[in-house]
Amino acid sequence: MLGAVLLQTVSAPGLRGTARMPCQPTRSRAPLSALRASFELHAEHATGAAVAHADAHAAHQADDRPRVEVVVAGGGIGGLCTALVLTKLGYDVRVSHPARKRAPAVQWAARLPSPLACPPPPTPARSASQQVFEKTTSYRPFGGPIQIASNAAESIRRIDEGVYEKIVARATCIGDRTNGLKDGLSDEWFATFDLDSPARKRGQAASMVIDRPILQEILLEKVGNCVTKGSEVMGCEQVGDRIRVGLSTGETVEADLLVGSDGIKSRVRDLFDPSQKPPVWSGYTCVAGMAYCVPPDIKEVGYKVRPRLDTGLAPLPSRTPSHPLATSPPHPSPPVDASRLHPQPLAGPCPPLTCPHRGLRHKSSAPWLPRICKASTPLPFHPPSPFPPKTPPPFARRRCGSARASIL
Amino acid sequence: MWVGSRKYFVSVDVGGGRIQWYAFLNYAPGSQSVEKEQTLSWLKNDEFADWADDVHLLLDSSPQDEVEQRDLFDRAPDLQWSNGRVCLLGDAAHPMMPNLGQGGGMAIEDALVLGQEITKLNEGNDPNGVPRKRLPLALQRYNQNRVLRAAAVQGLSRVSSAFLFQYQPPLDITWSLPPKVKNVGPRSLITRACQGFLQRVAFPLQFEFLFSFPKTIDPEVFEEEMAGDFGTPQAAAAREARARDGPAQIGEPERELISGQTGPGEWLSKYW
Repeated sequence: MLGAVLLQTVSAPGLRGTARMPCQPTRSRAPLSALRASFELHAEHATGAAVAHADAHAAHQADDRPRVEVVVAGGGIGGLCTALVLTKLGYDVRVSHPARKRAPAVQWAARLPSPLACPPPPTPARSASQQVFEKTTSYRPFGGPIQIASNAAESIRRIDEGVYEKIVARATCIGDRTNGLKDGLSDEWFATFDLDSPARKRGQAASMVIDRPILQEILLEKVGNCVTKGSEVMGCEQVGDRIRVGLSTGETVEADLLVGSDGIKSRVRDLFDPSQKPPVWSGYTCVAGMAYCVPPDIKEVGYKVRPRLDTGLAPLPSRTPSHPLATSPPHPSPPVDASRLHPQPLAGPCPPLTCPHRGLRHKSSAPWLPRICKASTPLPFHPPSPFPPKTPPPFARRRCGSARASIL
Repeated sequence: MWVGSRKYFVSVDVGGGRIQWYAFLNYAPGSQSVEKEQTLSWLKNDEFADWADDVHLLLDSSPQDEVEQRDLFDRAPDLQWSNGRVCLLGDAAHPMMPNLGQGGGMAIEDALVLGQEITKLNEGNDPNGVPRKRLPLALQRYNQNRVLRAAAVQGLSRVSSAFLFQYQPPLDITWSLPPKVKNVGPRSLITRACQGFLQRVAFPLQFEFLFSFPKTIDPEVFEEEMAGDFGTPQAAAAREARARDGPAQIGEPERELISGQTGPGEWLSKYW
């Protein structure tokens, strides 16, 4: 609740922004910097009488276009996934992927025709939908292997099942082995962690590691035709209810949305943060390397592991890893517990440790009554047998542990 | 992953007989002037000289030309990622330390949520999709939806990095006569004290949290409707089941008795 209030407060427009245009911003066309000022959470206001004719015209044009156009800055994992998601929504996506070397910073906005000096020509920019997309033949990936943890794997599955299958086929699973920390000098386990059971409980795939180039290749198979390499998003400005995006190649593209997924040195982020503070050094430098060897313990070891039983952790109750949820659509109906379909009489009060509600909030309709734990199996109030067994009163049966235990 | 004082070494099996390793060292950017060709021998002979054999096995079997060095940066969490028709996503919005290996995952989650928020605004299932006017609202909601989780993961990554920074070989007591105590020192004591907590509380909680996205309600935990679960399929099923199976409300039997629906004898045989 507090979080929600906080978010409401901080995301109010107008907190940040900087004037990057050398010219006076006008009401009809403000630089993106002035997003804050004009920005319509409820865009209806933007079409008020005050909006200049040119913008009304632009808006009209925009509505004529069949598809929403989006520019995605940066073709990393996030950018390509966004492109995939938006393509599935039927949008026209253009991913501009920078060349390996970063384009020198230029005051992009200054290179735009000044809105005061020259009114926009009828087609000042090729719209993204008319863009001739460059086939990416030599998409240069960067970086070593990347972890797809269970939550990410599940997200990919919801985005595109086919992509997910391909990733699973080519990734190396580490989540089913025990991972942990070892003391460097003594080579003794310090602590281990179990990646498998929280994932299995949710029907997610175990955590995997995949080479970044392979992951990019899989994503590019789907959205490669959206990617323009060698162009970097340098800045943008608001034009009517569209965004005009300037690229490092010197051209400008108009689109309905701009998604800045251009990494830690994001240029799009600079538009949000007027101070343009550099990232914070974390205290570490990292040397990464690839070893070509097969350590003797590789069968058990994902990232340095012993068999699970050695760790002192109780082994999991064996459940099928492929949960019914695993192949269901985004909002699946949960599998119905068999014990709920076939009510079984309870043997006695439910033991406090196995109470499924322990540790969760309980709200009794009558708070003055002793806390009652709802049993996980329905109570046989209407036994089908002609001779109903005598059942103890509900209070005695349904009490779960001590009052203290259920408050926890 | 091996940890030591102010440095740690992570190795990941990436399949195909390859192990990716990362050596994290506490040196300020630009403070080390090691030739690129010398990096490996520097690591082996200076930094990790007295470390475990497995570390040396990895260092020995790595070709020099696949060793890269990078300084690690992140940022404090940002709260505003969307503004009108522009939004941030992935590392641009929430750069984080690689300790949890969640950087890419968070970007993928962002993409999913962005799509979901846009889809959610299409209430009437309009075949033309969400009207363009409403897209800024979708971005705003995407921002609000993601900001807390991303900040938490950023924080967790940083905290786990900070813990490893703090690590000293843990205090070790061998219970013999006389007891032998190794690694005495305040940080060693703290490290030993943290051990059980990390193993049994911190790591399980961390992965419970990380894997809690995308939401599915765990059928084992949320078996029945509870205060606050609105509109989940489980809640609907529970409501239905309750209507079918009889009273589940506290006080229902008493009300039944008072209202006179059932005679006292019948009531007793039913509930007693």
